[in-house]
Amino acid sequence: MPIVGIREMTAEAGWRPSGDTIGESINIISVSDSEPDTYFSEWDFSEQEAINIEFEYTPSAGFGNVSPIKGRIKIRTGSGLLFVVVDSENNDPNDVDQIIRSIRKNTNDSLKIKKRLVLGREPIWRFVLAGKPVRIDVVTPFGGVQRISLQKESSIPDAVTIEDAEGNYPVDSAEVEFTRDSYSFDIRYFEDKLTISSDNSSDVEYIIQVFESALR
Amino acid sequence: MYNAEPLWRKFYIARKTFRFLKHYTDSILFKISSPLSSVVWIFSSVFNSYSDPLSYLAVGVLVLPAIYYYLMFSPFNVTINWNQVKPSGNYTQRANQRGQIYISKQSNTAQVTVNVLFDSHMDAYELEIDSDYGIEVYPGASDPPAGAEYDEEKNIIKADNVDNPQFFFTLNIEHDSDLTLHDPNIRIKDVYEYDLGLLEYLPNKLLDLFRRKPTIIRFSFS
Repeated sequence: MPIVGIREMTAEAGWRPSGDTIGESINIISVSDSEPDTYFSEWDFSEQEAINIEFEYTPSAGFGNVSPIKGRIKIRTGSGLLFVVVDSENNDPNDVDQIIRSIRKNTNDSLKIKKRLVLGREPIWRFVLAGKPVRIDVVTPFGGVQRISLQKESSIPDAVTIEDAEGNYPVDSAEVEFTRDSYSFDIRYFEDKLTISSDNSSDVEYIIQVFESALR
Repeated sequence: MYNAEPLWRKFYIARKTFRFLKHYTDSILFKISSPLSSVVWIFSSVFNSYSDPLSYLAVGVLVLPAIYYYLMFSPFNVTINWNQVKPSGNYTQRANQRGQIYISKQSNTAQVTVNVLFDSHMDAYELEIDSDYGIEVYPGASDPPAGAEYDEEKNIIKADNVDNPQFFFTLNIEHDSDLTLHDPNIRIKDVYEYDLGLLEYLPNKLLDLFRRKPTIIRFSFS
């Protein structure tokens, strides 16, 4: 299952990594800039520069053996997003944070990556509602995380329904089912990351396109 | 939630006065001027009748700093309160009752919601989130609310043409216990440059005295 870390960034036109490494810990295996096919019908970023960097990240040595992490960096100039895709097997979300931090530290002004993902309330809601939500937890103003009722009218009194929450409350985490052609898979959204329950690389690209489209 | 307020708060002047008194009585200026005024007042009665210059001085020492403070930090048009979201539990409740945020030792993180209640006739705001060394504070990914934007470099949430003056957002807090001092703080400051009204005619150097950025709320940690 791939974990996708997301950041906003601005890249100079024609930006490519200089050299074979980014900083000390990221080794670049290959760089390609082929345009992705359109998988998501509402996606209209096909004109943008899409840079794919395959990399191997060696964490700075702690105790014992540290195994390198392989993954891909996807830089999209049109939507202004950077995605770091890492397999969740053997790796945990903190590794993605480490990798993003390491890229951020070791690129200069030609690739400016924001420290945190702060997109606003509406884009995240658009993304979550682009598929079929299975579970949405929101943060309520009174404090506390609450699971919302996905029906328009709930039988439970005082339940927060999707109508109350949509666009008003920040999404804490969500599980959304996406259906492509004949099969479906789940994604989980939490903070600045997505976990996709499909190993198919075109499904990852599909979710990235959905996310990019939600930003508009 | 917004309706559960006492009746007097429904009146603009009452709200404003309340906020002013709350801020002013918290300030160092008040803590100096009020005992000083008392002392002068006592002296005035000891040495002479109440109508001598000393008693005027006593009143002056009490009133002038208050006027100065009012002009400096007005317009007192916002109330902010917060609730802790994560982690939840007994420790959090206990810390919150003392007005503090609880940060768990394992994760060194916390999340709070910040409720902002501006008075209705404002059309722009800028709130700066400021913290002591070793603490990082930033809004969640699905913040700020619609219409507002977040400036990462200055750590400011701002909006123009506000249509909803009462809103809330979440703040993530990361605490590096090796770096912080004993009593670390987070502050939310009102950094919007308000029109100073008639004061605008004063020379710039004098105006800078009034252009302070008042802290509206302070969080501390347990």
